[in-house]
Amino acid sequence: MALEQDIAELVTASNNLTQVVDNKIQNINSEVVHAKNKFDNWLNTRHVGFSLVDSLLDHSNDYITIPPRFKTIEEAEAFRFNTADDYAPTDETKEIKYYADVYLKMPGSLNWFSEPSPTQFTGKKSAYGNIAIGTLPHPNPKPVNRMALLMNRIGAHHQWMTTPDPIPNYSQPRVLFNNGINANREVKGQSWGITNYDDLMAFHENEAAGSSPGFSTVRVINLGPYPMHLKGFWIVNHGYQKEIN
Amino acid sequence: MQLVNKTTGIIEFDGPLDKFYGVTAYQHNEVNAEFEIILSAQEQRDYLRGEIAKDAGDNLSLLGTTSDTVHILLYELSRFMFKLNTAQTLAEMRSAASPINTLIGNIHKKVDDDVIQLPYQAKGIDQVIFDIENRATSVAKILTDNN
Repeated sequence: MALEQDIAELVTASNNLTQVVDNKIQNINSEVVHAKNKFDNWLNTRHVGFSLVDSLLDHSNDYITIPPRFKTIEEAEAFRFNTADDYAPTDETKEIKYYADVYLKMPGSLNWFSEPSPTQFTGKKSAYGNIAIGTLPHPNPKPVNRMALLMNRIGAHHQWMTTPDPIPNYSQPRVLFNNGINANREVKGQSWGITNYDDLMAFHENEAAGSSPGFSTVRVINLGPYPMHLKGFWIVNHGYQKEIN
Repeated sequence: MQLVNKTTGIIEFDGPLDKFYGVTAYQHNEVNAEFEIILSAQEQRDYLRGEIAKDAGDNLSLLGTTSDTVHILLYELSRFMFKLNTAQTLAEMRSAASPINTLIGNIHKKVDDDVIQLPYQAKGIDQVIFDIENRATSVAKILTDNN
């Protein structure tokens, strides 16, 4: 009788222990899942294993001065793409251009058709510009300017518009990385001797960036009201290192 | 250079020639657009210089030929003038002119017969004379001002 009682207690103790171990294992699994999610989120947000940087323009080139298309911030802010001239605006003589094109040196799309295809890119990109605004070294308040950033797509019906039809819709600009803000965005800056001080404007930072293999050119349009001096432009292709087999 | 899409009015390309992929790259078969290429004066010059380099020779080759031309003229003209200066008879004058005549005496006829074409004639003599006068004066002025 005592033996049976001892066995029953042992079984109960064993079951309890199993339950405790199961709970511990579940906790560990939960922590692993949590850590994995945290790691994936980290990969998707702040972590950058490496980057391929495309310098469309830098100090090895002369800077490009782009005069303002509009004289007031109100006119510039109200601008919407609507006509063919909006895509390469000039003055009446066509001598003064309110835009400038800069060219990619790397492919517009990193992972499209060719095989073996790269597996280390996250598909996210950044775009930075070194742009002097205005005419003063330390303006206070900072001059508020408007600009548009377009990307082309060779092979499309219209490389500067997204209209998938032979008849273009001039109100559908192909804005940089399909980000609507690039149709008319606010920027602020300074211009001390144009080249004396340099820093970066961030147009896109580690964000999804739709672009095609026909992407070869960025068009910068100065809506005004201040002159802009384009000194640099970079596109950063983000990636993380693949696991070692 | 500019590539203007005359069908849509869009300036498809506006940049240096070496970034231009050719008209077909900008064509879509459903759009079937009409294009116009616009070259600046400098781009037209660059284009012509490129064609000259391809067909006639690079700058150093052209310089070599120009140098040969000048040296032939210098030597032959020197010899001619020396002999002419001491000639006493018409026969001696003819004899003095003989070497240079043998060497280059038939070139003008080849030019007149269009066998040889000279670049200055293709450019237009008025423009060439203007460039000679203008560039000579500009260079001389810079040298004078900096002495």
